[in-house]
Amino acid sequence: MSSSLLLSITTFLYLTAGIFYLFNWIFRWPKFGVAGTFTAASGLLLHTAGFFLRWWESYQLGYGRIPLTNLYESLIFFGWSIVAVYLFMEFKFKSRVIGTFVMPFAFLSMAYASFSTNQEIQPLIPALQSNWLTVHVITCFLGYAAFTVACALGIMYLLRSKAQTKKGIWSHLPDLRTIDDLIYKTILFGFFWLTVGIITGAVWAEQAWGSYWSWDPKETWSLITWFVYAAAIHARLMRGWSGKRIAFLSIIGFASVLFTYFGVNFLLAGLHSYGAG
Amino acid sequence: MFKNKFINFLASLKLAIFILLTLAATSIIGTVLPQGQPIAFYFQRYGEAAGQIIKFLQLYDVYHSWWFVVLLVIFSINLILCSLKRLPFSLELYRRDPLAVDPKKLTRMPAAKEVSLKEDYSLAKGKIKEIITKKLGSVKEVEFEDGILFLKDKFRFSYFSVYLVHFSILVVIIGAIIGAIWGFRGNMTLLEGESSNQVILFGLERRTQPLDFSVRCDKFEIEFYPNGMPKEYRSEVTILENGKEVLKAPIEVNAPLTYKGITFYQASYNTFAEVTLRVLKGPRQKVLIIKPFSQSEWAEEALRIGLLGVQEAHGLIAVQLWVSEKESPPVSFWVLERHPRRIELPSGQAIIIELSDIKPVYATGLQVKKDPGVWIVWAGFLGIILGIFAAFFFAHQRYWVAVIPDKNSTKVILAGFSPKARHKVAETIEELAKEVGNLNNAS
Repeated sequence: MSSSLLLSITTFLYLTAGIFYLFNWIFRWPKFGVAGTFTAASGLLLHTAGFFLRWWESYQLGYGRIPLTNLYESLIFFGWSIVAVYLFMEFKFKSRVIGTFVMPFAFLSMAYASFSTNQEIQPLIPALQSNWLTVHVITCFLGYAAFTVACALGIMYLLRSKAQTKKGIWSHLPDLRTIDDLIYKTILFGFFWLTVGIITGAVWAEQAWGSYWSWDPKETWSLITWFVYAAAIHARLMRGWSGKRIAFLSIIGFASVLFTYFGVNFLLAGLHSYGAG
Repeated sequence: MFKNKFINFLASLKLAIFILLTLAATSIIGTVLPQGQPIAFYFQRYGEAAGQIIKFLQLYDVYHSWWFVVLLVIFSINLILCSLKRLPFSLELYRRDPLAVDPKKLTRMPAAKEVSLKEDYSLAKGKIKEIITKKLGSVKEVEFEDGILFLKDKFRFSYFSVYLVHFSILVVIIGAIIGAIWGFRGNMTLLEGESSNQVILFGLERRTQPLDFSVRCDKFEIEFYPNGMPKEYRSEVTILENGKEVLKAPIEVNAPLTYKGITFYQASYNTFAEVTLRVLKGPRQKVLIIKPFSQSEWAEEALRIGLLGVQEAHGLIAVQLWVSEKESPPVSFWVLERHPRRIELPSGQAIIIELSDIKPVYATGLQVKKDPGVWIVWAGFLGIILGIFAAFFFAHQRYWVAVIPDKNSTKVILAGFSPKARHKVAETIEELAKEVGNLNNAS
């Protein structure tokens, strides 16, 4: 029984949940919707167990620490946050169709983690040995997860608005006003967590290096993401900004999230693009 | 003031969204174009035309460039004006008397329910109050000509949370400006035992900032994981003022030391070495210890040997030394551990140098900063977090319950209003109506 085993099973549970939700949507079989929720929730429980098990495993190796510090662990936590945020929303807003659009993101995050990254538990360099790491990483990922759900909703919105007829699979999606309202609420939720994430990162940087903001690529891109969602939130107040534009913003925002999360590390690594002083 | 077209534009939401998206897009430049290089670098790498553009737009330092600063200034003005423009509206919403309603017209509210109770008015009144208080907390009650009106007004302050957010953002900007003008950031590298009162500032010019006290690194301690990665490292330092030892303290990663408003961070370290050599010249030999960047003398043989560097190659340690006999120019060479080396001196004689021992000597890399604005920035951050939390999670809600006698029974109208929390209000009214309706079944 290892954490990798638990997490691999979780990956397939999320895939299965996504399929159940898909059937629920396309064929209108509510029992599949229930199965989807049940599978996703079981996955989340197993996922949580896997997370804590890996934490325990790190103690066995002699350098005990919360599993949030490398790409593998962050992808695992990202997947966890997406499903957690989604299930919270499903519970509050009672719509299971959204699951069809959200579960693939969780599944992809887990799958990529399992198949493409280094899963070794490495000890932490001194700069990462801080309680700020836990707060900063968790808040950032809650934000990322909410923005992922908002993006899924944005896609849903655009698909729904393309649907000409009132019949068929498209009509089984919630109406545009509801989706628009959900996009707004999800973005607000994500924005709060992202703000706390950026701020805790800044306070930590100040304590580690004496500089709460150095315009380094990671920091700058997280701010870019923040600007995009701040614009989306305020756009809501503008008459003439249709739900379609905001749906687009939620997708562009997600692209920014992806770049902040992965792009900076993989694409910008060689450039040493640091703000002067 | 907002009748003026230009000011109105500066205070507009349209401008706010435009600036936010423009800041987002232009910030990308500094992450893909190398920053902080000398101008020549850009001309060499990107050519004449691009080089001129980069020079004019100061793209070598995007976030301090003139146009980026202009954007930030417009952003700040817009933030202030937007907030001032909206403030009267929020004040009006805040001041709106919740009791200025006609209880009988409450049914027109978007979330309203009407319930008829069989009970007598005077009895029903008390029971209803109990139900409402249990669900909503303490309520205000007002008698009007037809009956009694209960009111719960929740989180009325939330109209102002958005102003707290905006104000706090400005506070952060002010704090950052104060830090930039009256603060500094730089490095100080100290070998164990060395002391300094100079900070080498960041930036291309490498200017120095003198401090009115000295810092001496007494000891540098480091621990490694089995795989060679650093596990923990720290410096033990002493602060000296006018030659007197004033303070002894450790500096650890994530645990800086602050003295007289200047903070020292354990940022990095460099590894040097102290080497012990055995030098043989003919029948005579001598053991010399050479510290980093210094030399040792074998006076009897008029030999001086200095240490230039230490490196590891193919699993062996190699030291780079120079040797000078009498006043002759020094000759430099490498000596590997376990491989004594024979060197021919200019005088014709030869010496053999053997590396007996190597001890790591560390230089601690401290980052030094002074930032008088940092606490202002912290206050701003706190305000932003509290403001967003209040704005999003404490929406203003109003609940009215009118209890009106209707011959021998009682009419109850429940209504709720919240521009931002429609669902919550509708749900709550639904539940309250149900509970009130249940009174019919109870009796």
